[in-house]
Amino acid sequence: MAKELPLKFDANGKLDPNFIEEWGVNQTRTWLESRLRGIDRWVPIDVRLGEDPEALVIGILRDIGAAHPSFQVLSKAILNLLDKANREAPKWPDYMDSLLHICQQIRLPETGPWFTDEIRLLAQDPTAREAHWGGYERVSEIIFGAVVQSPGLPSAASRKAWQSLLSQPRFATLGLLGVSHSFEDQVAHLATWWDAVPISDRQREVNQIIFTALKSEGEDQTISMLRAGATQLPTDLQNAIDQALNDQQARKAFVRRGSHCAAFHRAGFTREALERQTA
Amino acid sequence: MPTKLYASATDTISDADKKSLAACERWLRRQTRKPSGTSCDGRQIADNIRDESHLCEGGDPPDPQLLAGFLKDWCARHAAAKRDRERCDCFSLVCKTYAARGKPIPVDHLPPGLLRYTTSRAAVAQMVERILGKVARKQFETGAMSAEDAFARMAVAWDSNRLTDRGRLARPSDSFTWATFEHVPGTPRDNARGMADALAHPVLITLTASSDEILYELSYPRDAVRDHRFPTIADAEWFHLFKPAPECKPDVAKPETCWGWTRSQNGQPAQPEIMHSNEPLGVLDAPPRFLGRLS
Repeated sequence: MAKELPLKFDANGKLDPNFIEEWGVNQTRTWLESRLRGIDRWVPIDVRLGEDPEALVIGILRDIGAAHPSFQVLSKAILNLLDKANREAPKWPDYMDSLLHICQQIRLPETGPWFTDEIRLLAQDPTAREAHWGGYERVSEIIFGAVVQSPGLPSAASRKAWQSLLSQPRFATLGLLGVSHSFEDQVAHLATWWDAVPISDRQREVNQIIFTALKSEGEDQTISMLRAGATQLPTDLQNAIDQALNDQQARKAFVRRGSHCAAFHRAGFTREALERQTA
Repeated sequence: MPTKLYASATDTISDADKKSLAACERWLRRQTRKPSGTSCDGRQIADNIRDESHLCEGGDPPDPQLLAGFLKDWCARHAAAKRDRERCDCFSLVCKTYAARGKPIPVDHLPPGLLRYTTSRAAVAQMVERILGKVARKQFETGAMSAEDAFARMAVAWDSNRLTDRGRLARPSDSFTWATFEHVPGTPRDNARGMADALAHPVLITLTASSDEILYELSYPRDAVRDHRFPTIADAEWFHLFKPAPECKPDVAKPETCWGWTRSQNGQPAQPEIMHSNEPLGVLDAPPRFLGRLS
């Protein structure tokens, strides 16, 4: 029986991440599985304040970065646990929610193919995949992980599957997150998403997309990108976007048909040009 | 000096169990933080077990059978374990078996509103998804939306009817949770670090440089949750900063006897501490309140 190596701390009381490399994949997996189930002999979990067991693991991964040998050991241990859960499905192991929370926050290249497979199988037959995992909620947790681990970049193996999910009402928003990696990307896919997503979710999601765009791109750039994609966006989506902009105290992006500006807009004048002329 | 309840409990166990208990305790006291070792303080946990006086269903004097059961069960499991890791798991398992079995607290001893302070980002993500949507959840989890923005936006859009049973006051796998309430003047309720000290929260930032720990408050009616109880050593498991409630008969004229109290740190005032059933987040009577970052 292999001797258990202890966890190490440095002189400042911080965890020395080299312990994971020394542990190797097997002991790391054993520790990780136990910790994510809520039991950790090395670093006890504060049950009183509802400490997330995965928070420590996320902290370690962020501290060391992807180039550190311990990062790869942890990634492989995480992949082993994902495989184990897949074999045991539809039983949902105690550690699975916490394990997926790690995957939803930190890019772990070793797990990419696992999530790509999941997205592909889900796009092929959503009902079968939901039955395999034991329900929609569990599948959507896996897809939240896939958004980070297997993004649908134009050249990615997962691209087609993400595009397929974008058209399925229950997965449309997750599909949008999978295929778009910038606000410009989102604008390009908004019309497809809008058609598929349940009406009750539409305004809420648009509000958030616009809130983030205004923060990251600024008002001018956001409106400029929205106008550039305006021809693809149906009127009710344009209204929803303008509503969200208005809620954020930003100016509206779209000129309405029937408004005084519409004829000028159709004639090729931009709103900015009109405003300059008016001024 | 052990409590009367502990002394009564050990009186009921056999000589062989007493010998095993001494071995268990010696092992537990060795589980202390070292430069290259574990980060719990086993000596304090062992002292806490001797100070336990509320792991009982009640009675006057309190019935020691439950605490005796805890001790005997621990001894039996510990003796069967061959490796240190198994011994640790045994202690955790025994604690889980006897969790949420502290002395019941009459509802009318408690104020109408309860508070729970938590660091759980997973619970925030659940609430963000339900209140602000999936895009918001992804942005919160990947850091594209700050915790400050997430809480501010939830406060504006708050509708507790949108919350599902999936999100709970504590981890969904737990049937009970810890709570407190407003009782002590001078409690730093708007200061995350101060509140963490008042609650005896061992801040994780000492372990990893990149941790981004937040603290927030959940508020809900006392009557929306069930089974209010004193917290015990079984609930605290490996949490050595837990402080067993003093061994005295509850008396409403002396609030310090009616519930547990935190082992507060750095001069902050100790806070009331109770356990109750883990209910869906739909019981919240206000949006979650962000206190700030602990790191």
